[in-house]
Amino acid sequence: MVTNTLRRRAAAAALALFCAGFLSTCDFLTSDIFPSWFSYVEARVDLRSILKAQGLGDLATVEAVEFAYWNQGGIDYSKVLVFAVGNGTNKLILLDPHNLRFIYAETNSVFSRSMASTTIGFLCGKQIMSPINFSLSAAPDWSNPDRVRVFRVGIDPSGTNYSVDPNSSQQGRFEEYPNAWGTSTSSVIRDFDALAGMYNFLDAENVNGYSVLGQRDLYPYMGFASSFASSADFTSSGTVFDKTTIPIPVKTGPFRMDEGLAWLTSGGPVAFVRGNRNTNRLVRYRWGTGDFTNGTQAESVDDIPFEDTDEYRVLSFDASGTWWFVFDRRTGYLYKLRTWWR
Amino acid sequence: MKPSRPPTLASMLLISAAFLPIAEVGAQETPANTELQPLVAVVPVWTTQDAEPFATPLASALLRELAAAGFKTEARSGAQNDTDSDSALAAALSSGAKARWAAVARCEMDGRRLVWRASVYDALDGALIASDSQGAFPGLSALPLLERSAASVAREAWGQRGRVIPGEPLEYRLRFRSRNEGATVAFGTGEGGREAGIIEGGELLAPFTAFRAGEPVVVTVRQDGYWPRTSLFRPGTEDKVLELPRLMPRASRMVSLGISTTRLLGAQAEYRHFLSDDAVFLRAADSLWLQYTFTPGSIPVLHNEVRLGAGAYLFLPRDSRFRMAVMTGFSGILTLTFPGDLADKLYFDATFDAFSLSLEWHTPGTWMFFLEQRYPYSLGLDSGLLARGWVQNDGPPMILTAGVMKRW
Repeated sequence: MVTNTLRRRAAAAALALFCAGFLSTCDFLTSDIFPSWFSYVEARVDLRSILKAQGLGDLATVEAVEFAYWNQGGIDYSKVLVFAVGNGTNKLILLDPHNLRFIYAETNSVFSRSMASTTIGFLCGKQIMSPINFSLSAAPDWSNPDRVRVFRVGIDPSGTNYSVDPNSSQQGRFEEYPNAWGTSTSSVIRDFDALAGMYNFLDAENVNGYSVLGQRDLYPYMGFASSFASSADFTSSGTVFDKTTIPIPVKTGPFRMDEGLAWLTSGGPVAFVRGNRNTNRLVRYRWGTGDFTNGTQAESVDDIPFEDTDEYRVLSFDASGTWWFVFDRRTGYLYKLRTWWR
Repeated sequence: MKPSRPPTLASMLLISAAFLPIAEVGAQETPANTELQPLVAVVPVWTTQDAEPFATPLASALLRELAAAGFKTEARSGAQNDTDSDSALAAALSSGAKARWAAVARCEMDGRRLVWRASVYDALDGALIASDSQGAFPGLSALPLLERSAASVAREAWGQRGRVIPGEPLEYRLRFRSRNEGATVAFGTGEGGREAGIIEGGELLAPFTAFRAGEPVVVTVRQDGYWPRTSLFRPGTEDKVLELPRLMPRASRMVSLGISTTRLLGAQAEYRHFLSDDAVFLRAADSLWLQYTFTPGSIPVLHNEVRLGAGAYLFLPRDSRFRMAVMTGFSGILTLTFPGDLADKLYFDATFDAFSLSLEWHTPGTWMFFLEQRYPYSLGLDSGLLARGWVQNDGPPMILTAGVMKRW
């Protein structure tokens, strides 16, 4: 009798431990045959049909997506910007920021992957489109229109524009532009680091200060972010990612990132990290952690799994940390998703 | 004065055999069988001198044929012996050689005719288990006949190699105990079985039957709604109650409830209708689960999958505790999302259940436990979310479902 009771208790305890081990990881609870990010979906649109309807053909590619906030007179003119290429045509497509409904499309040969919300409209390559009447005006003549990153500081439609135009893999031109663009009010060429290291410059946003993000072009291809406290610091001299002289930016990194996919958000840099056997993840890192000098990696805040397939591609994260966008190359749908931490 | 006869081989062996314990017959005990080696000792014996040239070839043939049959053999040197019987010689030979079996190859002359006898004895009880006796002209023509005799005896002995000593007759009536109240108990199987009675109050006192201790007693138990079961007992000399195993219920229907990997926030229910009891079935199952990641930005997505298919149990008998079933079928998955800005809130996917394997543990009651492995193939409908191909997830490559089943 006593032996049977002990056996039952032992079996129950073993089962409880087994279950605890199983359930201790959130992934086991959340693993599903459907895309793991599907519970974050807020809206979707058949983007491929839109591209075909716009004459870009069946083989059109979606190059970049950007959520562009823009308000004037209490009216929200925000849009989701899509840059697509097909049939030799560069096209900027504007979608409704809520339900991704098609709004407008424009063709221009100087459109490129670089898109941003600026003081006077939506930048796409070397053109700026008015959010109100969709008219185009010239942007500065970037040396690297595919890689230039632009952001705005200040409320719409006033404010100031800032840009980082990589003129090589080792340095970029950091500039400040007035509200109406024109000539820059401040301009400096800065080396990315003191070691003449080469970087893949990825992002610049008004989050956590004046922040920039790059990926070191050397194994293990880590990501680095620097956040400058003011516009003066942003356009001051000195290196970008390893600056140790005043003014010293808040440095984040190194951190793991793969496929050149990382973005700046108010909640911290987010990077795509490839794992082994279906364990790819989107990882959010904590601002101001890591050490450039001794290589201590930045601290991870949280992460979510992201399927290891060729079908889904994360295109962008909105700087406010509210939205992110995934394109399904199999079905041609563009998904707008809520971030997992807000 | 007749010269004193030299001590025969048998006599010498018999003397040494006197030191061996006498075999105790009965029950499952065998006479000093732990001391006997599993081999056959072979000895040629001739009654008269002119029969000697044939005794050795007969013994050699016996050695060859017994070895070819599968026995381990040991040759012993022969001698003339016209006094001791073959059984006595065999007993002495076995005890001397510590052999389980003893083979005597005896030849003698009956007038001008050669007569031989090849015999094999079991040392457990001294029983003759194989023999052949023939006669022929004492010439070369007899040799093939000797070979044939040896082959016949070897075959017969090999067939008896597993025999046990018949036990003592049982002096009591067999008593059975069973949890299947009202079950019918019979000795034997099929039409030739003899009814022993019905279980009442959990027990049955069978009529007296002349069984022997240690001998197999085949018992068949039957009851409506259950699969019959045949058991084998070897009752000993001691009167003990024989426990009959519980019968396995027959099922024409089953329901189950389970939980699956990739769907832990949900459950699966299934109904099986058997076309042949506990063998072939049709199944309908429904899984309902929430997709939710327990993070601030996650809004639950509701999935519901309906599966239809067929299956069959394989390999193991219907009353086995452990059973395996393979299944196939199709399923449709409805997905419902809730965000207001999502234009399409309803999605439909279809899969082909190419292969499902269910491992089950059946208790003698109505409850069972199962673990199902499933490998669905998505058809990649435009109305759905899954791509065409084998369904994948972050965990194992198949969907595992575990749960309980109830049958009736």
